[in-house]
Amino acid sequence: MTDLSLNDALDAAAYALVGTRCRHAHLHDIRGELQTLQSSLELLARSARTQTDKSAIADKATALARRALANHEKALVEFVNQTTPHEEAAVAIDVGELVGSALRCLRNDAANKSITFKVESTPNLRIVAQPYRSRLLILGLFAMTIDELSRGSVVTVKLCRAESDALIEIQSAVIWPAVRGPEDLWSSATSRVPPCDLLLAVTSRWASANGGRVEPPQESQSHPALRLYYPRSLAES
Amino acid sequence: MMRSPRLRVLYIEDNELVREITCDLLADDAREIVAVATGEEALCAFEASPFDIVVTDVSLPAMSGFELVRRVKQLAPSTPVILASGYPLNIDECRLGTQVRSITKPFEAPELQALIEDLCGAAAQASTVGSETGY
Repeated sequence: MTDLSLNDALDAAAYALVGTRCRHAHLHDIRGELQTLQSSLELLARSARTQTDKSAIADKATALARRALANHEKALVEFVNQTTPHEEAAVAIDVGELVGSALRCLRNDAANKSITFKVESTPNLRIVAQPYRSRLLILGLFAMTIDELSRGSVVTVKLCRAESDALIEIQSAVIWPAVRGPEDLWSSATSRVPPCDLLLAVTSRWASANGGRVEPPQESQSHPALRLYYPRSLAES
Repeated sequence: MMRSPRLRVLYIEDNELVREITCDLLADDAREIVAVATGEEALCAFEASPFDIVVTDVSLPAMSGFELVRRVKQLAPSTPVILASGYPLNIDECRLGTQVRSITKPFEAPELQALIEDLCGAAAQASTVGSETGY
C-alpha cells in the first residue's frame, strides 16, 4: 500500500458513496447470474436421475452452466472494477451506451419513486475517458437525482454535441451546489460533507483530467440543468 | 368453475438463460409455464388467457416487476404473485396487495415450486370459502 493523497482519499470516498448507494442494484445483477448457475446445476442433477434422454439434458445443462460461469465471471470483474479505485486508461466511450447502462442499473430505484427518465440522444456520440470512472460518475449523478426528487418527477437527459465537446445535460428540479475544490471539501471534513458536494468535486476533477468540465445549474436557465462536458472522441463517426 | 388440474404459471424474466432453464425445471405434468421477457408481453398474455399465478423478476426493462404486479392486481386482484429479486424484499413495504410473496435469487427450483403450490393452494381455498359463503 502507498500513501494516500487528498485526491486519492476523495476518489475512494466517491467510490464508497456510489457503491453503497447502488449495492442493491449490484447485488441483483450478481445474484441474477448466480441463478443461472444454480439452475444449470439442478438441471444437471436432474439429467443424472432421468431414465431417457440423459445425455441430451446433461449436454444442455453443461453448456448453459459454462455460459453462466462466463457471465458470472464478467459480472464479478465489472463489479470489482466499478466499486474500487484503480488505474484506468482513457478509451473511446459511446455516451448513449454509458447513460443507458447506468439507467438500467437504477431502473428499480426510479420505478420505486415513479420517476421517469427521458433520454434525448444523439447517435454515435463518443468521448475519450476512463470507462469505469465515467460510469461511476453517471451512476452517482443519476442516483442522487432520484434521491433528491419527489415521487412522479421527470428527468430529461440530453446527449448532444456542443462544438468540440459532448454534452451530457441532466434537467430536473434538483438544486445542485456549486463545485467545491478538494481543499475546501477536506477542510470541512471534520464536520460533514454533503454527498452532492463530494460527487460534484470528484466529477469536476475527473472531467477536467480528460479536458472536460462541469457546469452546475444557473439561475438564468429556464430549465435548470447540470451539464457535463467532455471532449468528443476523434474516432466518432 | 372447475380449476384445471394443471397450474398455469406466467413467468417473466429478462435474462434469457435464467428464463430457459427455469422453464425446463418447473414445467411438468402439474404445471404449464408460459415464459416472457418483459412486463408488456406479460400483460398481453395475462389479458389473453387466465393464469393461476404470476412469477416475475423485479428488475425488468421498461416496466418494472413492481409496476407489472400493480397492473396485474388491477386486472385480477386475487391472482397470487411471486417476486424474484437479487436482494431481500420487504413485501409489506411494497404495498402490492394480498397474495404477494418474494423469493431471493439464487433460489432452488423446489423452493420456488413449494412457494407456487403454497400460494395457489391458499388461493384455491380462499376461492372455495368465498363461493361457499356466497362471496
